[in-house]
Amino acid sequence: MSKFRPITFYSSQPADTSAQYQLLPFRFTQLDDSRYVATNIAGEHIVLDPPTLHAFVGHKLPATDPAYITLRARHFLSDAHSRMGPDLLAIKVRTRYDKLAYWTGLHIFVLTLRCEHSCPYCQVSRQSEDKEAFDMSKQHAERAIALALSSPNPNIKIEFQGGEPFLNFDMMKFIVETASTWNTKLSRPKNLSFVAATNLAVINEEMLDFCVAYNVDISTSLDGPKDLHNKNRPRSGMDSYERTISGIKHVRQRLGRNKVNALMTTTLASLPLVKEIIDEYLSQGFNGIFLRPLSPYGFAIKTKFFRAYNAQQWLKFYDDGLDYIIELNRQGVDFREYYAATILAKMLTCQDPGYVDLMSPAGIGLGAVIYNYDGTVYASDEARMLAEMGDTTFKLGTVEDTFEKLFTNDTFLTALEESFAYSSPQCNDCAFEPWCGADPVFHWGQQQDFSGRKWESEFCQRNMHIFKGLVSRMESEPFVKNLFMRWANRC
Amino acid sequence: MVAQFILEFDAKSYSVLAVQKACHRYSGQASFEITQRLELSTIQVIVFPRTTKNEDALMQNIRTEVLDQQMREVVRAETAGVRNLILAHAFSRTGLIHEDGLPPGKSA
Amino acid sequence: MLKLRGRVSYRGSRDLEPRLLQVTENLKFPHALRGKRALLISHVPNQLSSIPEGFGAVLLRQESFLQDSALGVPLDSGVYVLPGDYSYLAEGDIVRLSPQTESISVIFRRRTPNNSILLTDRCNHYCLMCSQPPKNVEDSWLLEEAFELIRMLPGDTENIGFTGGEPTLYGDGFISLVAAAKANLPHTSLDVLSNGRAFANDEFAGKLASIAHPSLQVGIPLYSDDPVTHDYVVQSPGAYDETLRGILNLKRFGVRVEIRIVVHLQTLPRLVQTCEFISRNLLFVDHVALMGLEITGFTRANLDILWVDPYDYRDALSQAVNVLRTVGMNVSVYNHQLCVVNQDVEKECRQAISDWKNEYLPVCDDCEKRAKCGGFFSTQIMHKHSRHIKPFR
Repeated sequence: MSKFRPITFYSSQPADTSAQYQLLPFRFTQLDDSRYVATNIAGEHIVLDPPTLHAFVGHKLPATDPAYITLRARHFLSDAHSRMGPDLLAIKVRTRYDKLAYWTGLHIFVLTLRCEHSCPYCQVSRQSEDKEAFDMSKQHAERAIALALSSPNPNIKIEFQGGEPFLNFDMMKFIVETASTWNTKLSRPKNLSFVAATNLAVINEEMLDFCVAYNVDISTSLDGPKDLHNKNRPRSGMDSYERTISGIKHVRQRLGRNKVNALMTTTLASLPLVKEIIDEYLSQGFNGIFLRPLSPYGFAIKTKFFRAYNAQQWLKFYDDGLDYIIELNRQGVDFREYYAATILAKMLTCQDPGYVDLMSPAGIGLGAVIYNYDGTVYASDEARMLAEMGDTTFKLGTVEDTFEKLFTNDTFLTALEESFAYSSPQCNDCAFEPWCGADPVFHWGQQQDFSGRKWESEFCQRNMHIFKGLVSRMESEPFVKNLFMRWANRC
Repeated sequence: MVAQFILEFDAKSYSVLAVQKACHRYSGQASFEITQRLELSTIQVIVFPRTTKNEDALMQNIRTEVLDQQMREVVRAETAGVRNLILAHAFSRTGLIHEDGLPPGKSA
Repeated sequence: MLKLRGRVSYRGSRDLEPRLLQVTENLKFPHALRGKRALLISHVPNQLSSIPEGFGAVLLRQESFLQDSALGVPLDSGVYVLPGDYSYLAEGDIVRLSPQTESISVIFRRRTPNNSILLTDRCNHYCLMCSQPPKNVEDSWLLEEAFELIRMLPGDTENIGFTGGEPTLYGDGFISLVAAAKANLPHTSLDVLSNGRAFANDEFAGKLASIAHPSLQVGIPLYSDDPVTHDYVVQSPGAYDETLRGILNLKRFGVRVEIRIVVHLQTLPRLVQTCEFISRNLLFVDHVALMGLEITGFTRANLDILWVDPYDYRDALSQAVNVLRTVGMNVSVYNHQLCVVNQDVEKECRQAISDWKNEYLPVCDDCEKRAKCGGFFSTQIMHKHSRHIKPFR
């Protein structure tokens, strides 16, 4: 007698549909022995067991299966009850790629090659302190600033590197002041920001005054507790750690708590010490750590530091570190791992974090560009490091070249095209492709191939392991899923 | 007599270009003679290794590389539309797009 | 609960049509405007010998005024005797008076910040929990009256709402009404409650957007990420797709949209997934409201398939809010008492129940959070509420 229809009226298929459901574009990759990860074209994922996956693909999955309902809601299939999938997927894909057109946001200025540290893993061919021939000149700086400001990106970040950039403080001041002034004259001024990558060993009050006045952020190196850090990063006096710590405290006092962040490099000596390294970051008041492997460039290659450990060893280091950090969060400490957070943003949102090494199309040129002390322009930091080793494949040109000449460089365009992950045979049907990236510089350096044979690639090996690890951890515990959601949304 | 090995690839499954590219990658370890045997519908490759070490591994690697290059061609062709669209979008605000709407470095 | 409409005792001509009149207590109100006013007499001053003439209607708080003071009934206006239920009626309120049915409807109250204008009882949905059950009647006079009301409202009115039924069933008539609201009340924010389906039509959505109302929000219910569940709750196949399309169109044209989810036994199982769906697909929506059940209308008929004690789903509610909050969306919880939710959603809880149907239990007198708590629907107090109501001390 009720005027209301039961849910079965709404769940039964209309009589005129022939197929029960249609598959929307998706890919799947094995997660472990008993599960697959499937991703739709917007990078949203679902974990399925093999029987469910096979039934799904074979058009035999019943509409009453809970997996069916989720697959429909998450746009893996389309049926008579909703045809919104393609439109919503299109919006999500467009959102993911939206910021691509902003073009280069990170502009790195190598102010000098001079440095008073002698870190064996350094990717730069540093020069000793007194050689001013290795400083960036005013003319080069002006040309580089002009190029940086001509990028269509509304947000321009200028990063100072070296050697030790504060050894060429005059040039840093000149660039900050000039860029800021020229910016105000643009018809649409950029949101301009500055950061200096420094070992903090030579920083003084005048420099800090300047950083305060012009809002220059500080990025420094902290490899871990004192002994590890000093062993990794020798300088005369063997006091790199002490200087770094006191530098951090000083910068925080003058600039603000969140104006300094730290990066670490993993050496063979670091491998057994991941908890100690994290504890060091905790006690120095950092909100997180970026666990990253050694890059195969520069002195790292020369001194064989790069080959001192393999991908497996590093992944163990990483997993132990991430699990320790998760445990810290369980105890109420808000501390995050930034590489995971970057990947989680790509997994759990449609916002592109713009991390150069995990972009497809590749982040070279598009994401970052580097103006070397001698006026040469490279498509990325790693591209410059490759050049230090004698391989100038990714040199775009010089600061005397026009914007057009630099970005229509043949090799650059070819590298973008050939490394495009979606067009690489293994990546093309990998479930993790939406979360991953192309790294033509790495693959060129390792395999002399922009796209690379991914089954031989440590880039692929490393990332696949991490993707699977993040998915597994989220599946096993709601606490971790919520934690990772917060990391993905940067809150 | 220089050692030589003969590899044959089915011309219906592999393009000459893919075979050439694969050989080119190994030109540091061998030199090659590539012939299309149209009557047999095969592509014949004579491999002249530069050293006698690890010849079996070299042959395996070349075969694997030919398959890889062939896959690359197929996938690249299939995904050209999507790739061009996304690259064009990336370049869309740089002022470097041609009138035909393709990103720089490409022609219709 | 305030009584907003009902039958009253009436004296006067029955030929008069129903009309909207603004209440005044001013016996000396200017003659030229008296025709549009209803004179409210709360007490009879000694000097008054007869009821002033020329008013659209006269409202007496007491029957005795007519008998004791021998006041004559004016020829040109009817006299309504208001029972005590209408003691809240005050200067500036607007009433609809119907001599033929001897009834009064209080359409607008000056002292409350939220006034809802019912545009129609017709609807193309039939929600299991509808608090305003649809009627298939010709009631376009309500739309005409709404135009008139908008012209009568004071310019400093903070906010009005358009509700139904489904307001957009009027098509271009609805659009004209929104335009009239902008023209007459440019400083009044407007909340429209709609199932959003009419906006699946690009042109219609575009027309609404072109009005460029300075402060408009369309509140649209979405009950699940699962189309079958949503269509079932609203009892209309195909509702899910059209509603989503309507939301997308409105956002494409820059109109503010709020998504409303009523939490009950049918929407609860996928509440968290629904919020996840919103966070991935509808991130650009301006606000999401998670709402408690009002025990009126169809809800009472379907209570067995709808009722779940909010205290029992407090963790799911927390998780749902957490999903939306984490991605940075604006989220509110309506119609839940503070003692039945977890503390982590307290700051999202709002006092959102219209004052005329908002009440508290006696046990709430002791509660230290009473001032912040939204309290109950009167119908919850009357018929069904959580068994876990407990004052905070």
